[in-house]
Amino acid sequence: MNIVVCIKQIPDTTDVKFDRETGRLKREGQPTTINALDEHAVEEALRLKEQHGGAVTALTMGPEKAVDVLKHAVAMGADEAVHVCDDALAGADTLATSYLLARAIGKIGAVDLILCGGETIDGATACVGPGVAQNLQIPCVCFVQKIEGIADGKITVQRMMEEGYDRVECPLPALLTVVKGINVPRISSLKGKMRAKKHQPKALTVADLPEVKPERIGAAGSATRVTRTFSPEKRPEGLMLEGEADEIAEQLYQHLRK
Amino acid sequence: MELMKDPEVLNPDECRGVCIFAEQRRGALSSAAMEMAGAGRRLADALGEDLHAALLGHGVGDLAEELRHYGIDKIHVVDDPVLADFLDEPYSAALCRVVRDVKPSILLGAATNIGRSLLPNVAVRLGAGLTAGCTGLAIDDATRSLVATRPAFGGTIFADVVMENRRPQIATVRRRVMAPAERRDAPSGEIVRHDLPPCAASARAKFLESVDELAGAVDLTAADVIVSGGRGIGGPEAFEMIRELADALGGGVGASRAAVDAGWIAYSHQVGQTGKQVRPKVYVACGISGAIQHLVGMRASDTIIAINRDPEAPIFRVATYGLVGDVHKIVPALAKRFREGG
Ligand SMILES: Cc1cc2nc3c(=O)[nH]c(=O)nc-3n(C[C@H](O)[C@H](O)[C@H](O)COP(=O)(O)OP(=O)(O)OC[C@H]3O[C@@H](n4cnc5c(N)ncnc54)[C@H](O)[C@@H]3O)c2cc1C
Ligand SMILES: Nc1ncnc2c1ncn2[C@@H]1O[C@H](COP(=O)(O)O)[C@@H](O)[C@H]1O
Repeated sequence: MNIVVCIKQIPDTTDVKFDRETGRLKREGQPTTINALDEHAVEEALRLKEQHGGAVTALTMGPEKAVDVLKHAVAMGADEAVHVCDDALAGADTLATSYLLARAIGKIGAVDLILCGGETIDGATACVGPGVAQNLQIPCVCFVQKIEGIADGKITVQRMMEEGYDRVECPLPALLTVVKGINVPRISSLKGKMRAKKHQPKALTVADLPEVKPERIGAAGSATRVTRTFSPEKRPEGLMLEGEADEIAEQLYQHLRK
Repeated sequence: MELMKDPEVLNPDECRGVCIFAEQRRGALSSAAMEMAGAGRRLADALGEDLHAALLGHGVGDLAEELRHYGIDKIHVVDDPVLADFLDEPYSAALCRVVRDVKPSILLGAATNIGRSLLPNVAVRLGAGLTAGCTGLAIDDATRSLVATRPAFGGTIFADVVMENRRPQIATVRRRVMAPAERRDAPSGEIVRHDLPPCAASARAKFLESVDELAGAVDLTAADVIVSGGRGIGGPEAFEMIRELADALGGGVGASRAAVDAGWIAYSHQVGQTGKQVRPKVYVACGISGAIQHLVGMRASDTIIAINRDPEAPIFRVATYGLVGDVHKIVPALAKRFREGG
C-alpha cells in the first residue's frame, strides 16, 4: 500500500488577525499549524501502513514555511515528504490547487490510495480532495468516518451522511477525504521528532512536474476571485436573565412567545 | 491513474439561466432542493432568464412531477439504475451531461454532504469556478455575474467571490440560509429527460447500504431548534434532561466537543468547527463555555439561548438571552414551562 496524504498548513485559528486596511488575513508572522483533519488523514495512513505494509508520503503545496507541516507528518511516522513550493503557485484557488496536486502525485509514482482532510479550517471549501480525484480520474469518497477494510484491491468505507452513514466499496487506486470521527491522531514519539528534525522533505518546483500548463496554475489558473472581505455584523446585545430557575423560565417563555 | 485532459470549457456567450441540483435521497426530495429552488428563482428573475433543475436518480418520475410545483421552468431528469444511490462518479458525469446540454450561467447545489462531494468534481470536469459554503448570492448589475458571499475562518470574516469569465458559475450554499420556494397547487414547468452519458454507465465504486443512525432523531443541519449540552452538564445521564427540553421545543440534541470527547454522546451530535455547522431558529447552549471552535458552528442561529453559571462565560457574548445559573435547575424548569405552554 503506497499512500499519499495531502496536508495543508493553516494559521492557528484561535489567533486570526486581519489587516485593518485591506481586511485581508495576515499570514506573515502568524503562528501556523497543520489543518486538524489532515492530521487525522496522516494517522489513518499510518494505521493502514501498519496493517498492510507500504509507505506513506505526505504532500503539501505551500510557501517555504509549509515545510513545518511535513515535518509534523514525518514526526508522526510518515516515510517521505514532498513540498511543492513555487512563486508561480501563489493565489491558487481550489481548481488550480487540485490541478497541481494531481500532477505532484503523478510524480510520486505508484500510489494506491490518496487521503485528504474533509476540509480545511481556513478555506473550508472541501473542494480540493474531490478535485484531485477528478484530475487523476480515480474514484472518490468524501467525508469517510471509518475504513472497514481493504481486500482484493478494494477498500470498504463508511461515508458520513446527514442522517447516518453509507457503506461504499471502491476499487484502488482511490481518493478518500476523512472526518474527525475516523481516529484519534497519535502524539509523535521522541524518536519520531528526532527523525523529523533531520529529515529533508523533497522540494519540487513547477519545472519538476510533468504536464503542467502555466495558465492552469496559481492565480492564472484560478476561476474564482475575491473582490471584497468584510467582518460579519455584530450580534445585537443580549439580554441577561437572572434569578430562580422558575422565574428565569417564565421570563424566557414570555420573551420567546412574542 | 491517468491525468484528465484539459476540459472543454463552456462559451460564456452561450450560457443562460440558472440550474439547481435538486437533491433527492432514497426516494424523497431533500428540503435542500426547495431552498435551492428559492435561491435559484431569485437569481433567474434578477437575470430575466430561466430556472432549470437537474434531478438524478432511479425511478424518480414522481419526484420530477413534485418539482413542477416549485416554480421551476425546466426539470431535467436523468433516470438510471446506476444513479439509484449517490456515488461521486456517475452522479458527476450525469450532472455534467445536463450542464453541457442546458449551458446555464449559474449552477447551484446545497452544501450537504452530497453537494459538497459532487459539485467540486463537476467544477473540475467543466473547468469552472466554485465558491463553496455560500451564505449570500446576488447578481452584479453591471457585469450580470454572480457575486457569492461566503464565510471564511468559521465566520470571523466574510468574502465576496466572483467567477467572472467562466461558466457555469458554481456555488454550494449553506443549509437554511435561503428562503425555500413555496409549493404551488398548480404544476408548471416542463420535464426533459436526458440519457445517461456512456462514461457514467459503469460506476467503479459500489454502494453497499445506507445506515440510518438518526432514526427518529433530527438532522441537526436542517433543524429549527437545537438544544446542546457541554461539559458543564456534568455527565452522560444529563443528556436525558437535554433531550427532554429538545422534545419540549420540538428540536434535536447537539453537543460540544468536550461532551463528545468524554464519550457522553455520539460524534454525530457535535456542533462546531470539527462537527456540524448549524443554523436553527433557536439554539440553546447548556453548560457550554463558548470556545471559538464551538461558536463558529452555531453563531449564525437566529436566537441563541445560553445557560451557564459563570456570568463571564464567552458564550454570553453571542447570546440573545443569557440565563445565569445551574443547568440542572434551569433546563428542567424550561422544559416544564414550555411543555405547559399558555
Ligand atoms: C482544532 C480544534 C477543533 C475543535 N472543534 C470543536 C468543535 O467542533 N466543537 C466544539 O464544541 N469544540 C471544539 N473544540 C474544542 C473547544 O476549543 C472547547 O474545548 C470545547 O468547545 C469546550 O466544550 P464545553 O464548552 O462543553 O466545555 P468547557 O469549556 O469545559 O465549558 C463548560 C462550561 O460549563 C459551565 N458549567 C459548569 N457546570 C455548570 C452548571 N452546573 N450549570 C451551568 N453551567 C455550568 C462552565 O461555567 C463552563 O463555561 C475544538 C478545539 C480544537 C483545538
Ligand atoms: N495546498 C495544499 N497542499 C496539500 N493539500 C491540500 C492543500 N490544500 C488543500 N489540501 C487538501 O485538501 C483538503 C481539503 O481542502 P479545502 O478544499 O481547502 O477545504 C485538505 O484537508 C487537504 O487534505
